[in-house]
Amino acid sequence: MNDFSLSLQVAGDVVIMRPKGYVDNLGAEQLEVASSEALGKGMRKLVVNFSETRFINSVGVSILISVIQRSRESAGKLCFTNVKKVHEEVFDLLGLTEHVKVFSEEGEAIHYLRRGRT
Amino acid sequence: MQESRPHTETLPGREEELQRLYRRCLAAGSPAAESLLLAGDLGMGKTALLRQLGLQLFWKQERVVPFRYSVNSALLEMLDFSRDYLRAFLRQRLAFDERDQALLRREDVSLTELAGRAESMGHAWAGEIARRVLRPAEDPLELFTAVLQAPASSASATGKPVAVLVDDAAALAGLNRAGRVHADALALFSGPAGDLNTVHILADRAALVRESALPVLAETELQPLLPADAGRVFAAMLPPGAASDSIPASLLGHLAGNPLYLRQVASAVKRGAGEEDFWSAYYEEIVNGRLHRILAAEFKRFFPAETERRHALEVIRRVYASGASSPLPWPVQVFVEEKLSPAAVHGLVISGFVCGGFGGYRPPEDRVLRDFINLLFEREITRRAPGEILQRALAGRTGADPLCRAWEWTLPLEPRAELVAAESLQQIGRNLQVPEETIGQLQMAMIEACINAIEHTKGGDGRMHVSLKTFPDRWEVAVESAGLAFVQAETGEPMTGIETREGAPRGQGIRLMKRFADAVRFEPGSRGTRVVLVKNLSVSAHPAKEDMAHRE
Repeated sequence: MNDFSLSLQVAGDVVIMRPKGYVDNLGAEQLEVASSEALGKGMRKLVVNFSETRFINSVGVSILISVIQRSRESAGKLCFTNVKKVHEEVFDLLGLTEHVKVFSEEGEAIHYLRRGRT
Repeated sequence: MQESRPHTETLPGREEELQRLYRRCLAAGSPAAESLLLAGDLGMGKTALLRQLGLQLFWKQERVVPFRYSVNSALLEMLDFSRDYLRAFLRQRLAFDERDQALLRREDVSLTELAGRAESMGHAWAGEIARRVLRPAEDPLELFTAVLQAPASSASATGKPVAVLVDDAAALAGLNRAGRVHADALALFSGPAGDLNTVHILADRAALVRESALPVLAETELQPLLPADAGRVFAAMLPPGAASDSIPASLLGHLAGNPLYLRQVASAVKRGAGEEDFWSAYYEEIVNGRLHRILAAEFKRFFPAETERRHALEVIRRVYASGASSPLPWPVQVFVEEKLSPAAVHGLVISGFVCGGFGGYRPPEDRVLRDFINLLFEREITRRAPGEILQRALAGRTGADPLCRAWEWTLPLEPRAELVAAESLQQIGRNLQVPEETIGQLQMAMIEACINAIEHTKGGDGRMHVSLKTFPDRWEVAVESAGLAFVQAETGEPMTGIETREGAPRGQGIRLMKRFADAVRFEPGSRGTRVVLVKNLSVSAHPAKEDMAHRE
């Protein structure tokens, strides 16, 4: 059962990751690899657009925490966008939103990252 | 007349407690003598334990005199109580000397007769105190104090220590003189309870013991029976022909090791051929059987006036509807507005029908109490006939309720199998026009329950069984598998953690379940462990128009 795909787009100095389907351990690990590679190449502005993410689970979220930590260690800036309400509640409950900016639209996040403020 | 030694009753699962109490009683008359408060929730077997302890002391040794007394709430006028207490003591004291079981059981023997008989046997102390009680010329409180000392007086006069076993002791808080309650009277037990020649064991409900002005003593609380003992008690009470090997584990888990529940439900089983026969017996008992009468009497004890009782029932039901997973922050003003009297508010908590205190109430862990209240509500408030309530209760359990629709999925224990159920849930939600936000939350909780099962299941049929029952007011998802490993045998609660990945936070799955379902239950099922997620549907809920976050 393959319920996850990840599309990547580089828009100038911003890397946009669009996880599609189910962000469980397998899906989140792909996201982790992609973000690590981007950070390794010096791309420090990352956006994860969840508009096509249908489901997440606690294991996937625990890996997203690693993604956030890795980004911070590399002086990166990470934003989440288009998060469904229920998933945002999950992120809130598990403390992710204390460490990552959440925007309703991808464009807002890119704008924020390029300007360095909202 | 002397009688032969009776058959001693067995108390499965209580052997250790019995022996501990027996040893404590035998310490009477020694420097190690120590009195005790014996606490236990309704049905935990305090009365049976004291009865057995009394019998054991009566028949198995000759040094310590057993005296068992159950406080009668109809005899709480101070002089009435003093007479009854003394009469009971003299009767049992003389019966012990003569090993006279008939006297032990004679309720009609008068205090005058007993006092005469005691004096003829050389118990001058008995005659003296009996005369004071029979022709009271002194303050009733002094007399009451003297009567409480009677076992100690007997011990010093005869050299035989006394074990005083008082059941329903907290009822003594209602002791009164000419109708005026003497709340401190209970504390007068402190003197005799501290006498090394007597060991007092004062028993009552845990909440009452803590609330009452009982003397400060060592305390022990009777715990529910362990599952194996609960099974033994249940099987022993089954009628002939009922198959003890088909007792559903789910029912035993539901009864939670409470000896009263186990005995009443087992004795109501008629056929015991299959799981539904056992559950039918359970519902018949709490809707209309002896267990119903016992619990109804208990409810009435705390809420004697009908108006207040109905009101309390509505308030308790609302606490239950708030869900079992977290305390309901509920300020005391709610009760003031609801015009519940202070006594009723107090009764709400000490009755055990709700837990917590001012500011936060939650349903009790006891599922039988919860079922009882819900069914009593149907009877008293909704005014349904017992037959209809029983039919609806059984139908609700099996999914045969005409308003209930049921779905089931049997899934392999493989990664992402949970998506099959999650996708189906979404489609069913659309078909039944349930708001997407509600469905999303239930999906989240269900996914966590499923991955819990996938991670922790050991043995069984290698599958997980997911079911959905939809009712007009709620949806219930159950995930069942042979994942016994994640339920602690003693508490019925899950282990704290789901192993996510090395170094990652643990236990988040259960946290998410509790966040997104209105109630989460972990219970034994016929296939192992069942996690039940209940999501209440708000009647005012509308489909979510905007499902995206707006946050910066």
